[in-house]
Amino acid sequence: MKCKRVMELLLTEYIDERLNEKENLEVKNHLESCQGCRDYYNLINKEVVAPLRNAREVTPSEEVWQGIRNKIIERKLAAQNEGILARIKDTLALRKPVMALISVILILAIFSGIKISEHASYITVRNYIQEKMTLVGETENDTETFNGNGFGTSIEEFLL
Amino acid sequence: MKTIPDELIYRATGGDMDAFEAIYRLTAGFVYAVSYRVVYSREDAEEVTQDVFIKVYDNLKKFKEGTSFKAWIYRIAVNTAINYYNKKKRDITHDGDYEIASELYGKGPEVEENLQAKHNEEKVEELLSRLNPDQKACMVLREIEGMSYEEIAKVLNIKINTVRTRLKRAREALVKYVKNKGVGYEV
Repeated sequence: MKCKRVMELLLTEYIDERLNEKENLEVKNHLESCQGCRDYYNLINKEVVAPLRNAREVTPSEEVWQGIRNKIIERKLAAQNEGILARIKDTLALRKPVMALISVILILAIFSGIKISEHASYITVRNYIQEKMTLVGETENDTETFNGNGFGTSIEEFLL
Repeated sequence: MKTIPDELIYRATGGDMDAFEAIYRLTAGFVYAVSYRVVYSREDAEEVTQDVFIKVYDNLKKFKEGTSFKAWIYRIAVNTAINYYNKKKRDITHDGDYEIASELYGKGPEVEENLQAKHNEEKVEELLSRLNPDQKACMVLREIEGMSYEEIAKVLNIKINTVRTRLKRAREALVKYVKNKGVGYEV
């Protein structure tokens, strides 16, 4: 095995123990006989891999979970409130056409009311005129009866 | 990666907070650790962890049955941490080692051990800061979390060969960096 190939394996499969038995033995044998590759391996192992593999374990504080929990609860409440608002909006949105229809009906009703009232007034005036006309007509017909000597009623005779 | 029981996922999807808390307890360690190694500040890592679990909660219904729930959460964690890091890159103060160091001091008689741990944490931060976010994520999952290539591929939604390439390039870059710093050996 050549040094270039060994160095590549040292950076990957050899250090990560992913070589099969045969390849592993080949690298080991090469390291025993090659000072350069051995130094390279020691450098990788001691200065790069070992510090990272010995890194201190870190854990989050309890406040992290409390923060997450509170945030989720806050968001849930906000979502519920949004839900209520959305329902009110939906209800109002549904009622919009109904309200519009009611408004149209009311306008029509008011308008019709005015018309009806106008019509009623017209009938009243027409009846009044007709009544007066009838009276005038009757009076004209009665001119023959009134001959200057009165109507011949008992009260007239008493006064005269 | 241990799996999360389906029943727990089902209950959490239905809004059961106890079930969601159980999921949090099973996965928060990883989410926080990855976030911390990417953003390198406790405060930012906690913010990222919160964001991750809010995203998980909001998207529970979108989770596809039959796929790995844990890998799904871890993917959200890695992506959120990388995005956070990219957004805050210029503002992030690298005070992670200081925070850990201040915890390590005064923890009993093992001062020597504590100093070594502090020194190692400084090294970890220094090394990871030399990598781009994709390489960093791969290295954290492999070296710190001890995931296999297959698991990393699943979490990052990339091919196994891409995992190998990223690890190789990351290690190569780090070897070059420590060599230039004067540590190490003639090759």
